[in-house]
Amino acid sequence: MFGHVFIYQMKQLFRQKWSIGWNFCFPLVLATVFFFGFGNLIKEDPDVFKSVEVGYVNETSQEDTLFEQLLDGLTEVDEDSDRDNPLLILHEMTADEAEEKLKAGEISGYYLETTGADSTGADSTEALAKSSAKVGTEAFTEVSTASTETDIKLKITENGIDATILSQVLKSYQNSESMVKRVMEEHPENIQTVMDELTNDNQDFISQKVFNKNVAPFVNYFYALLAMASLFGSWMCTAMLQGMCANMSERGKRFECSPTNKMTAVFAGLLACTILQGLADTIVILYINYVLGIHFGGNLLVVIALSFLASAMGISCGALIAAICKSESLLIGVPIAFSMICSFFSGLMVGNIRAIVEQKCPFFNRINPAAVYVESIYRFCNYGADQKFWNSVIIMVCMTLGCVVLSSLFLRRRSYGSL
Amino acid sequence: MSEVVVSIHDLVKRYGEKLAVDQFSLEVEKGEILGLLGPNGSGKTTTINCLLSLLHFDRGDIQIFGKNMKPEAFDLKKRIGVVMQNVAVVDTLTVEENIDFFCGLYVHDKKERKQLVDDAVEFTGLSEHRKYKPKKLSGGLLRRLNIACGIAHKPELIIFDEPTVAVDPQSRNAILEGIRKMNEKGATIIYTSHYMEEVEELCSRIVIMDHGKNVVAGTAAELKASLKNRETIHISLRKALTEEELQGLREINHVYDVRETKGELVIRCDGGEHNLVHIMNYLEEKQIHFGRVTTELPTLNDVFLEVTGKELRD
Repeated sequence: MFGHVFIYQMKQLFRQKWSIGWNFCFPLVLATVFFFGFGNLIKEDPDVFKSVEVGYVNETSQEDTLFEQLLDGLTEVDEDSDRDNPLLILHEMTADEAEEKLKAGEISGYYLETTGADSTGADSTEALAKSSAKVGTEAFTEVSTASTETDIKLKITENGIDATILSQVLKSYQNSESMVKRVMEEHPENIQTVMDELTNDNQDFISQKVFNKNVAPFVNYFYALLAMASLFGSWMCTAMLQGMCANMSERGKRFECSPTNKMTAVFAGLLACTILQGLADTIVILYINYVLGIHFGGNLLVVIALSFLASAMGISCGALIAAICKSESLLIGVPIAFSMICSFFSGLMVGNIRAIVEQKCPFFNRINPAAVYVESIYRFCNYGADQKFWNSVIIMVCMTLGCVVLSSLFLRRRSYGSL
Repeated sequence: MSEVVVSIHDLVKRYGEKLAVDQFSLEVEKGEILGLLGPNGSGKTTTINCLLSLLHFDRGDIQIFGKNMKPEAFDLKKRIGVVMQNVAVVDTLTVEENIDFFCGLYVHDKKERKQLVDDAVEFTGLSEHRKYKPKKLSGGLLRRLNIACGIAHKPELIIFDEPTVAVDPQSRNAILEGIRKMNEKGATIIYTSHYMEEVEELCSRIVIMDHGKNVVAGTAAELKASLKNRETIHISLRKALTEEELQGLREINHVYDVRETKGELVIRCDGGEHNLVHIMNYLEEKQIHFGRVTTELPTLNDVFLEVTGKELRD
């Protein structure tokens, strides 16, 4: 029975013109529109690769610290890179000047290196964790790292790609610092080679992490587009359930007159919808990645897997809508409104709306399925499978299961008060 | 004694304050074609929906094949076929796929199902349209597809809820013929309609519903026999009759009502034979000139009119 309903639901959905149009074609068209709108900025405009103006304040007793050497290395253009400009443009200045220029927007941030206190390894790890956690969608003003020799603080005014780069530089330095010290102690003759390699490694690391993978603010629009496409699955689901519930259609009456376990049929339908929506999303992801050449920055298989999870979430939301709404017109209008509102607040039309919501009402970002999905891709593509990524995945799984359980409770009723 | 397939006892169904079905009782015997006749809003479809356990009802008892009908009574549902009032098919599937899809909800064996689908296609005359999508079918063919989807699994009890609404006469005849054939093959049929002619033609027993009640039941002949009016004679007149002549007509045996309106004489008789001959003799005797003469036997509409006081199609 499960297989019979599943196969026929697949057939029905595949042949629905609106399903092909809205679930398959519309996201592709919108992705193309986005690409021509600002996709070229990501690919070609040198402004996108604009070097980050950064201040450096040295308040240590040393003239040329290891960190400064690293920063100097990053102010040179990497020969292997296809960029014409360096990652960083470094301005040495005093703390007051740095503060002034930061406020005036002349620099994206500044590093303040001071003589180290009695920091321990644990402190250092904690500071790094803080640094890592603060990069991303959250607004932050200051991140820092510490070593036994010096304290390095990074001060920035706003979130964004520049903040990501500066933070990555600091994080990368922290990761390598212990190795440099060990070489200095054990093989001081090799220190220049190590420093060169460290600079190159950082160049590569930053280039790979940030630029070559197109992790730019514009990519957020494509994440939001994927979220919208996944939530379009809710329409698919309401249409599917319309044919299974006697209070929604004549077909539903015929269905409920049959000796078929309704929940088995509903689950077969949900699976068919999820697979179809997941396929539609996969096509969009592959199109964005391979045809438009906009790389998400993370493992594509994981991004696709996330899209399947998001599709399941959108479809289960559709099931809940269908279970609650009885009017046929609501079954069309509500999923449309739901998809569009959720997508809007995930950054489909206003890129930084998610960050604004995060500041004003973070809870909404936790319950908005589109925002949760965007957050999960964003985290994964920028920072890998970190805690926030897993939090988002867990929220998506919970939303999916919650909607399925609730809609099952509503839908399992097999006789009605009126038809 | 024949087997009772459907037994409804004192069924009551309310929609808020509105009483849709009011202590309705009914028994359908195996092999019967029972016609459930009533005007729109009389409670026919509500009764059918309760019978199928689609609607829960306020009071009463429904048994099918001797067992209580419940939403989860899958063993009973397997033996029932339903043809809904409105066409209930999937637009994106072909004729063949539609029948297979709905048949598959009852029959899981693929081989068996294929044969059943072929039989249903053949039976409803849709062989040439197997690969057509519903949108390409005419209204009549669509109705046939609707029937095929409901009966493909060869049910023992088939419920037709106004299957001929908005169907052309040719398709209607084909549908009625098909129902008759299904009955001949052993299916018990409940047929709801507000078309009295087809109910009269098709059904072995008729129940007339109004305001959710079982108003009268019996065969068509029994229902008509229960009427006072057994024959209505219309005579067009060249000139108006005198009161004396009208009185003379009223005194003829079995004549119980004589009216003259707009040059037409309408005479109603409560039985007896050769009423027309007696009336003609009287008119000739009185040298009353007349034109066209027609005579009508009572219809189910007359039955309905007499028991409810209104026209069936009001």
